[in-house]
Amino acid sequence: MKKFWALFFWFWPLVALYVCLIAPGNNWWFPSKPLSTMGHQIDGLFYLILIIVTVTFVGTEFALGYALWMGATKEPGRRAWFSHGSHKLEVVWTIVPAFVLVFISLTQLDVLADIRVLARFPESVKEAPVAEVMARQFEWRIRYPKPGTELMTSPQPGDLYFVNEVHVPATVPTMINLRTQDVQHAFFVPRLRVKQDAVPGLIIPVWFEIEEAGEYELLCAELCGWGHYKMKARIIADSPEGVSAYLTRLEREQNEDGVQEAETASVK
Amino acid sequence: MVGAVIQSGRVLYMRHCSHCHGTAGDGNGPTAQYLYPRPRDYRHGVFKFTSTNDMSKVSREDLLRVLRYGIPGTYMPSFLLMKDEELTAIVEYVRFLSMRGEFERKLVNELASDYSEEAVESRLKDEQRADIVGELAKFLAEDVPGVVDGIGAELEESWVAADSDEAKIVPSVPRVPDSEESRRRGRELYLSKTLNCADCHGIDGAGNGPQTVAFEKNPITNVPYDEPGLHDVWDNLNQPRNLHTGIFRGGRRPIDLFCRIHAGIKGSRMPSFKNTPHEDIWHIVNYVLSIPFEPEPGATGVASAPAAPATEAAAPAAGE
Ligand code: HEC
Ligand code: HEC
Ligand SMILES: [Cu+2]
Repeated sequence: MKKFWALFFWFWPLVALYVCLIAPGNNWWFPSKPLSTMGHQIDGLFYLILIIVTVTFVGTEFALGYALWMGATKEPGRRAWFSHGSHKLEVVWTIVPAFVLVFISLTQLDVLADIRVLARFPESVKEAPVAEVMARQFEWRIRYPKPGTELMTSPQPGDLYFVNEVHVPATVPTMINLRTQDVQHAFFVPRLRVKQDAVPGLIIPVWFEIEEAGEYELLCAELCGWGHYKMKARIIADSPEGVSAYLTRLEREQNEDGVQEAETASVK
Repeated sequence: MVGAVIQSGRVLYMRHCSHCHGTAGDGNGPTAQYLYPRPRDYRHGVFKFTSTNDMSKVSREDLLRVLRYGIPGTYMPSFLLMKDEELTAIVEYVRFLSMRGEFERKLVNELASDYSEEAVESRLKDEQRADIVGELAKFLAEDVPGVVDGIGAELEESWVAADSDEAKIVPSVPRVPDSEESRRRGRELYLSKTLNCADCHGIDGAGNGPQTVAFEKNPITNVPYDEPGLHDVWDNLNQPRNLHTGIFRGGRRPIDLFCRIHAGIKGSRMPSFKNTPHEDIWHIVNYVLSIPFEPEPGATGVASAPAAPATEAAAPAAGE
């Protein structure tokens, strides 16, 4: 029975190792493959950390199993060895994890800077947010600049408005301005691996380059109140021409005076 | 099956709407007490943001629009991501709740004048209880079926009419192109004595006109309200909008604002200006749309000196 526990604790690291090896190929960690350019690097970081924790987990579990095994097969009379208070061991297990953590934080700096530091954003988007995404309890209000003009921080005459649906160009870098009208929210697009908090009082630029046209789910990832769970929108990634066609359509709709509309209806 | 749509609408309504609008549509769900403005109480059959004439009900299209885009500036959220057939089912259920609520209110009104607790009490002074009960039984047996049919027919007619072309507001002239001149004309009309928007919305449009400090009485009970300001048919405080926010709850298309001014905001204290020439309404629309961008409040000049609108209610006074 004593040996059972040693074998038991040796069995699980083997299972964990197997799962960690096959998981990436089966996409068990993520809702889909990354669909933005930065997404690949973020997944890379995730897998790096996965390797480190898998190795650590397997190692410590094997050590635990080893200790149990030694206990189980102990000959009568052999005395236990007490490691408590060993200076050398303390130093080793402080320094090794410290190195691992420093290694992780240095490796991810580049990716973090690419995501967060405006100066490192792609040149083409730095000055040209395509839309303002305003989070509020419990919906996403979108403001586009009038076609042909730039987005300003305050609303301008001719701005176009929509709710819970953002149209952005695919296959080119794109930037939006993230804001919130009330409490903290977070702009989370799982398939793009984009997640950014919206903080009251701040205008936070968020950029991404979507690789495939299509529809992406946008969720709020910051518990923002009782309706948090329904704070959902969609991002429609389209060709740049498709987006400008959409904006033209939106502009026409927003300027409807109910007269032309009636005329076209009677023509039909 | 005829009721299938309403049944599926009911399931969706209970899941997504009832915590605000209440299971019976009384606008008093568990989350309602924290909200201002309050969620709509459907039982009056009155809806604010419609594209129909001031005397008409709300159309299906209007309800669908409210569901899709929400009401910005309030807690009514957008349900854009729901499927079309889900939305139409919910619309049918909201219509059902409204009609049911209205029906019941009308029936109660029919009986209340003679048979409410108060009425019976005062009648007992010179009548016998048995006589009253007998009279009621006779009334219920002979008159009520006809009353029920009458209310039903009335409701059917008005709700069907709301979806007809006649009910829809169509401006007789296209929008007057936006210009400095048109806005100035709009501001003149805004300040004019006949329209007197400033009486409620304030001279600069900040929503602080004299009416907001007048004390009103509840029109039914005649008891003065505790707080000053206008009150809507749901008995809630109804502040005239601050027009500087740039948020238009009923939509920001020119036609939306045209409808708001033409038909008023039903149930609220924003009156209908249907007798105003359509061209003038467009001038006002152009002005209203420009207010949020004025360099400073009231910056839009008027040709004649901007005379302050004369109102008796300048000092706090009893409402009308
Ligand atoms: C968070 C609370 C909330 C939820 C959930 C909610 N509403 Fe509302 N709703 C409101 C409020 C508040 C208003 C009143 C806005 C006003 O008076 O300007 C409103 C108004 C309305 C109106 C009236 C529009 C008009 O023109 O008068 C309709 C219709 C409506 N809601 C339908 C729904 C339906 C259907 C659902 C569910 C799919 C729903 N609401 C869910 C809060 C809510
Ligand atoms: C008797 C008071 C009163 C008068 C007069 C009045 N309003 Fe209003 N108005 C209101 C109230 C109250 C509301 C808010 C209604 C609500 O949403 O419950 C309102 C709302 C509005 C809105 C907001 C519509 C939206 O979609 O958010 C506009 C625009 C507006 N009024 C314009 C005008 C104009 C223009 C005039 C003059 C032609 C005018 N009002 C006259 C009381 C008034
Ligand atoms: Cu949120």
